Amino acid sequence: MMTSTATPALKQSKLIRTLGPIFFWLVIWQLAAMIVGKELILPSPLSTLRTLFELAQGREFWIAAGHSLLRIFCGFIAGVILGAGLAILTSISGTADALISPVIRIVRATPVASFIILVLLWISRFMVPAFIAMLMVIPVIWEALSSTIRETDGDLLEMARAYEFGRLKTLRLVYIPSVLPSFTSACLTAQGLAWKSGVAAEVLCLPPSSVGTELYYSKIYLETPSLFAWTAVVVILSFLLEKLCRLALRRAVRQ
Amino acid sequence: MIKLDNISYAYEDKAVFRDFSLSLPSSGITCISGPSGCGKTSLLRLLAGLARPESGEITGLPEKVGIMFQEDRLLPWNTALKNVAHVAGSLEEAKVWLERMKLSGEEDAYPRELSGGMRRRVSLARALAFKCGLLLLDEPFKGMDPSLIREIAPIISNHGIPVIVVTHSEGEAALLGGRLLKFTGPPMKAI
Repeated sequence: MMTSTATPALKQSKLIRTLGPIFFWLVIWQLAAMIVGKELILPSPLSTLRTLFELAQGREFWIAAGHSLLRIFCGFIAGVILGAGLAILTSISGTADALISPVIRIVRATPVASFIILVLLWISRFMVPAFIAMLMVIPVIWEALSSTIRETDGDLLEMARAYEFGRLKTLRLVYIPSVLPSFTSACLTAQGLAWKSGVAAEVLCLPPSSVGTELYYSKIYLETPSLFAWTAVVVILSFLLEKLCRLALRRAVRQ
Repeated sequence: MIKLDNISYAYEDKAVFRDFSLSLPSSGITCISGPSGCGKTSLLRLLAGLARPESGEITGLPEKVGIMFQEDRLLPWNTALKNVAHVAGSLEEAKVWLERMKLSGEEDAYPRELSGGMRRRVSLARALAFKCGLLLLDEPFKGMDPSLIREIAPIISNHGIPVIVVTHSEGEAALLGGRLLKFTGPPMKAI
């Protein structure tokens, strides 16, 4: 009896906790838009939603969103794989660490715009967003993984050695579970960065059919509601990718 | 016989062994006792091959040596059953060892869900499940109540392979039977 009444109440409270802040900030946004009174400077949430709805009716919208999602997702995955590979390499080899660590630190400190412009000179503009997203993801994953690999419990590693686990079994039973929590949070941080840098690259490189290109044209033609609508698309896609990421990592943890 | 000849070994700049020699029987139970820090754990680590002497040599060791550490060293992300199965080779065998350690019903518990004494028994089950020619146990009964120690000691005594046990208690040594060697130190010396 207790459970049957408590569960819907809990669900309701969770729903309020999730939707409450969203509603609060939408009201603030609406009020600010009403005070400003100019769509060109600050469009209202309703006008943004209307524009988004209008955009979503065209085929081009879905193609642009799909292309951006694909590019940034590919860059993110490549960054995760490379970042993890480099973390393993720098953890097992002092020479590799001495060579690679400064490069990664420079990449982390360099403004993303410098990289976008530079990379645009080297590779096709279609590839730049994915490449930039990858470049921004690598240091985040590398940093999180290399420090956790180094901090792996020495007692457990010695136990694995004493019971003759071997390299693969030690990796599977000791290293991977040890690094999984920091890897998960690094992936979530990195995917946000991948979106920000990937879209910034699209804005500067203007590959056809992309969210970044649409954002650029919204700015050029002073279509502020469209600018807000495309930004909302980026936020929604980023949330979707984050959910996907969480789901995949949760499944990995369970296994 | 397992022989340690003129072993010298330092841990954190402290000489634990200085030209230390010892013969240990390569059958039955040998209990090692002595005050904390006298070098008992270091002796087990040298015998297990987890530490190397700076000089001297150890002979007569079998190819495989198993060790139960002073700490439980269980994988926190695995259940009691899996912790033992990783060493035993099969879930069935691991289950049998947990039953022998009076841990039936705790197979699916994670180390954090077990009491200190229970974790110790999981660790002991894992060590006993390891197929080796010599087993080293560092304070295997730590945190266990006396009635449980009385039930578990015969399982170690009848394990069928030579076992070297570090213990602080002469009572535990008596329960296990075999030879009792007393040491002092550091550096380690036989009394």
